[in-house]
Amino acid sequence: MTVEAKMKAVLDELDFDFSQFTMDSFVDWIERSRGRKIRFIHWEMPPGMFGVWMSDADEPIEHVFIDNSVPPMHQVHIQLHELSHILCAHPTARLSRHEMGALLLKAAEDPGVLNEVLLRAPAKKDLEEEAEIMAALIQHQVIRHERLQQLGVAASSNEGVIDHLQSLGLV
Amino acid sequence: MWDKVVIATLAWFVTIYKFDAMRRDGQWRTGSVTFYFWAFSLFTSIGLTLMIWPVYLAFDRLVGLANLGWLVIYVSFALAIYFISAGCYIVLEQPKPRLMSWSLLLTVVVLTVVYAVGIVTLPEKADHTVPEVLAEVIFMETIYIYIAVLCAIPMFTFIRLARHEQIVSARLRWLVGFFASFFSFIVLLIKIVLTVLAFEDPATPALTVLYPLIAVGIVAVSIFITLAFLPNKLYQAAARPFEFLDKLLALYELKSLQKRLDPLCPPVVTGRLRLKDVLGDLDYHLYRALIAIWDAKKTLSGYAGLTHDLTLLPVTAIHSPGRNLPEWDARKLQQARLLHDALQTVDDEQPFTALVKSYQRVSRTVRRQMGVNFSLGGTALDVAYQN
Repeated sequence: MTVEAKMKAVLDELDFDFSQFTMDSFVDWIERSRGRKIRFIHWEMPPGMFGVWMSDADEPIEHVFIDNSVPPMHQVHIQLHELSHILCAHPTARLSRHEMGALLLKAAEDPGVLNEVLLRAPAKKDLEEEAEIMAALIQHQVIRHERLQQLGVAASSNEGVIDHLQSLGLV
Repeated sequence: MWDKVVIATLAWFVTIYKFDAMRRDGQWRTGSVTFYFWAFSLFTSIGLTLMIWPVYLAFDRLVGLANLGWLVIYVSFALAIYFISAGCYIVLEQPKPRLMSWSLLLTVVVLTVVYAVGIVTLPEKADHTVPEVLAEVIFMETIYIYIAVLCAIPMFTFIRLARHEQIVSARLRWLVGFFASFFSFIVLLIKIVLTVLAFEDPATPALTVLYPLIAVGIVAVSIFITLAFLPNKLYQAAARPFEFLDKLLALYELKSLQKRLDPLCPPVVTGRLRLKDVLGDLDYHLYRALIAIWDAKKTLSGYAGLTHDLTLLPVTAIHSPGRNLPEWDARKLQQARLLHDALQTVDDEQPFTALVKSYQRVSRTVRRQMGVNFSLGGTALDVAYQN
């Protein structure tokens, strides 16, 4: 079985209706199916890192760090990549609520502290490959269902003119 | 006469068809684009209808004033061009110049005065192309010059919209709008010349050339105006082949840029694309190519931060999960600097289509620069293809 076929099977099992895709509804669906809340934290990542996922050891919460220095559309991709790790049930670092709280408090003063911890998160090439392929499969489904704008893509190069065309009944 | 009937019918069809759209627009009473464009089609329809000789004659007999239809035609066209120009200013998000309203008032006053002084006394006249008295020359030239000058506003608006539009179907509509105003402008220029020539010498051979030109111009204007109001679905269908080729070229250029970035910042997933899959999913592959470029852009920025803007070789490779970042040599450093500089020129906050265009430009720039910077004895040595 190829990695792509394996990931497709995981996605099919999720049974999400991509014709209604929005990032919020997709996250809700994963939260319900996995029985855990997903919390996104936008953070300035070190070079070479885009996103990191960590589990809360005390509460049913997944903490997903997203690089806030990249364009919004890229951030959406990183979000999907990290969600794919969760969907694939990959192993990840587990921090207690106390550890996470202390870490974020320290990081507010010195962001480098967080980076050191993030860099300790397990990252194997095959797991990254699986998550990237899964993210690509999700994006393929979204685009196939003509919901490209839900990936952070604007519908037109001139939104103001589109409004005028709509009022003229031409769109 | 039947050509005029067809054109007027088309104009009324657009006016009636767009009436509901105008009424649905909550802001139409205060002067919205919808209102201005609908008013344009209404006054154009009135003008075109009165150009039909039996209608013109019936109207004049009804009101009991000779050639009043002629005045109404000209005032209608003056109002039509005024409204479409006012709508253009809303689209351009600029205030309408005061001069526009004053010039309309002046034109209407001049037309009315000339009509009262010199046109109402003339016998009913079907042909409004050849002036016989000076009053007719002034009457005709006033409206031609006014409309020709105002035609520049929609021409400028549509060409500006087309230049900035990234979506092919929308660009097609703007081009249609541009051609409608461009041909109107040309028809009026010819009419300005023809009116003077015909008044000077009604038998001049120039008229045999100018008349058919005007006829062709009027047909072109009516076709383009009708096309400009067609629903977007038809534009999307017409744009599909252009869009397909546009996206194919864009994908080729983005992939070419990605290939140059891959040896410096390898992607997590590698693999060859099958042409059949690519052709069926161009949007998806463009999106993925853009993501891959952004991944590499961020990695290069990371290196730039560690190496004084890529002036020094990095001591160690950056840690990037799932990626085995290679060691660089002097040549790779030079290429990384060139790529980093080119990638930094793009504003990443643009809509998708604009982003694709911007990175296409980067791809072309890089290809050109690499042809120069990495050439050795006439052979382009591109690091991207050494791996």
